[in-house]
Amino acid sequence: MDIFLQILFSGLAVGSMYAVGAIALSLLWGTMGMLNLAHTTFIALGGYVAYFCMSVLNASWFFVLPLAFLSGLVMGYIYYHLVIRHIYANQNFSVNIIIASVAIAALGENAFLNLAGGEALRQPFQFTSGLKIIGVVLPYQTIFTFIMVIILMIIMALIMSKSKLGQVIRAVSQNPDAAKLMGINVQKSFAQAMMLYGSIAAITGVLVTGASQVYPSVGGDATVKALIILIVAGLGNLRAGILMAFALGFLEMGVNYLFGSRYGFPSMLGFVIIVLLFKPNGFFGKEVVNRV
Amino acid sequence: MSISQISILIAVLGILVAAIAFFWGTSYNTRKFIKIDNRKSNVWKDFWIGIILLALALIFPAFGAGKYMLSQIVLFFIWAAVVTQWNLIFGIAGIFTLGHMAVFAVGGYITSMIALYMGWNLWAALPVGALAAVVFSFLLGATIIRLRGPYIAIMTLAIAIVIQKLIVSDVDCFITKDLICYNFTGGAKGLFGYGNFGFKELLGYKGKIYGEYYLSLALLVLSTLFALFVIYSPLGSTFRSIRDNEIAAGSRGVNRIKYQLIVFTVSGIFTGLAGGVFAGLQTTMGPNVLSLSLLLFLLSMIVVGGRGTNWGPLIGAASLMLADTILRDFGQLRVAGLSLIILFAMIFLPNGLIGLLSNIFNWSPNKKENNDRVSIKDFIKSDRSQYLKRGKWIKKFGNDNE
Repeated sequence: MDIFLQILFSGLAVGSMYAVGAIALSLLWGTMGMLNLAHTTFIALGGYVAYFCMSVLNASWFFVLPLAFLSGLVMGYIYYHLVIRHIYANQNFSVNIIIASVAIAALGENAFLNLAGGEALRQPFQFTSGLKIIGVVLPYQTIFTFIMVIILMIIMALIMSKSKLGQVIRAVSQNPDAAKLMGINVQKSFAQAMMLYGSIAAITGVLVTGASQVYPSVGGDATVKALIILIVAGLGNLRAGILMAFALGFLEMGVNYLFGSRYGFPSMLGFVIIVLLFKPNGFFGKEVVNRV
Repeated sequence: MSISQISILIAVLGILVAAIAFFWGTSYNTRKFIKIDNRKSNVWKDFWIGIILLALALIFPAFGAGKYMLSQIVLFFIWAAVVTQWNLIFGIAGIFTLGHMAVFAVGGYITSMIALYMGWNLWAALPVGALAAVVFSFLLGATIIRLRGPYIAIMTLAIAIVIQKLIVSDVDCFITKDLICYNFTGGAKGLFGYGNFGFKELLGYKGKIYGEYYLSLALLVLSTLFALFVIYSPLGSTFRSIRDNEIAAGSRGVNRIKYQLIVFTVSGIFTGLAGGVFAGLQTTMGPNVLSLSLLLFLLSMIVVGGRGTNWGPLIGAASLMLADTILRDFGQLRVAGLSLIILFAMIFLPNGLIGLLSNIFNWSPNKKENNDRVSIKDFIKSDRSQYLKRGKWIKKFGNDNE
């Protein structure tokens, strides 16, 4: 029972970590058809902003999330106008952006390495204690992250379905040309989606780094895993993605506890490969037919 | 690195570029507006380019280049051999795998493991390592057999990352020698002490670097010949047909799955061999060959040189090695510089340096757009307005394949 609860709690922690990544990444796939490997830069940005705010400026914890929100917003805007816009103009966007975002991830990692140093820093925006259930500790940080996942998902759903911004983004993602004919500024709406993504990603960075520490390559694993989870769940299906994030988090943690921590990620990847061999569009994905 | 060495490098690069441009220019026939089948003339063009490059590379050590420079060129030969094979999958067949360094690592690791644990000579271990790499490459191709475009990139990257993590986290003792524990894969510190190719005994201390130089040159020549052979064979046409239009190719009876497995298998041969040669020349094989920065370095060679072109990877490797030797002086900023180069190339040179070169040498005041890349697809592209219409038409029906 002990070990079961342990696996459950750490699976919950890891799963909510992947889920927050998946929320932000699926927004970008939905709008631009873009798999963003530079997500790790945004996660590190959130972590370093939290560290800077609380440890360097000695400000209250109250300012951390707004500051991360703002910095992610600015970063998303810059990222869109410096890189994505130009690559979108060329052919083969969906693959080229992966290569470009690998480069951006390396660039961001290098920038944080040069600006803040390579050592792991303790990120102060976190809960230290935990809730004790039958001898097993459930950290408050996990509960907090889990609640934030649900809140972020609800906010995303509301923005996408109710607000004007969400309507514009959905219209552009369905058909950019028709949207343009209706008087929508396509580039502006892409930039807005990117800013929305950046702010959410930076907030997830604060949450993710709270459970561990902050170092330049902090989000690398979580990014790749979140992307894999989105693919196996079927891209464009956010609810399935979040469900899958928790399922694979439990799987990874279960393998970690039973066979040793080196086999967690490989077994998860093996599972994903086997699923994709039989269902190439993911568990809940729809088949996309490309007409030429 | 002194100024004279840099100037020699730049001069050599200049000669290469001029030679390529010369043959590009002479073979271009302005009267034929579209050339659909110019395979034969291209073969001769590539033949002469290859002969000139080979002659230059053969006599290069006679100019008295330093040992450091020769060792850099050895590294360049190995990376160029890897990227020419990667280009077969990435550029010619249009399968966007990022796991090619894993194939390279398998070749290197198996070669050095056989030499280390079974006591084989490294020369004898090379083909076995290459064979293992071929098998691994086939399996890599099989795991992503039903996926498309961006999915493939993410999954192969994840596979490479997992292999690196498995190697780094390997702490179990496989053999214990003199109370020192050796891991099966060498763990984070890598494999070492499996000997070398024996150039020191054969050629003496001073001649060792020349042996390494000509061995890696032979690797590159064979690899390039093989790549050109594949490109010009019916196999290459099949790969390109799948890349350009999968549905049309399928309706003509091309089995995508079969040819995807074939392209992974063929490109594994020389990649694995390059891995073995790399392991033998470096005398140590560590998990850093799977690092993200090296992946980015080799990927930028393909992207900067020109995807899917015959000589693009070679030119890309040369220019990136040159840039890297210069960036090395800046220490920490090296990776940032590489990333900026790759971004710059993706935004401003979508067809790479080869595309830029052919644009420059096929430019004439009367021609509004270049249509030197001789295929109907590119010809349609060349007309700007038509291209825009076509782009809209495709977007309207939700095509993401282009």
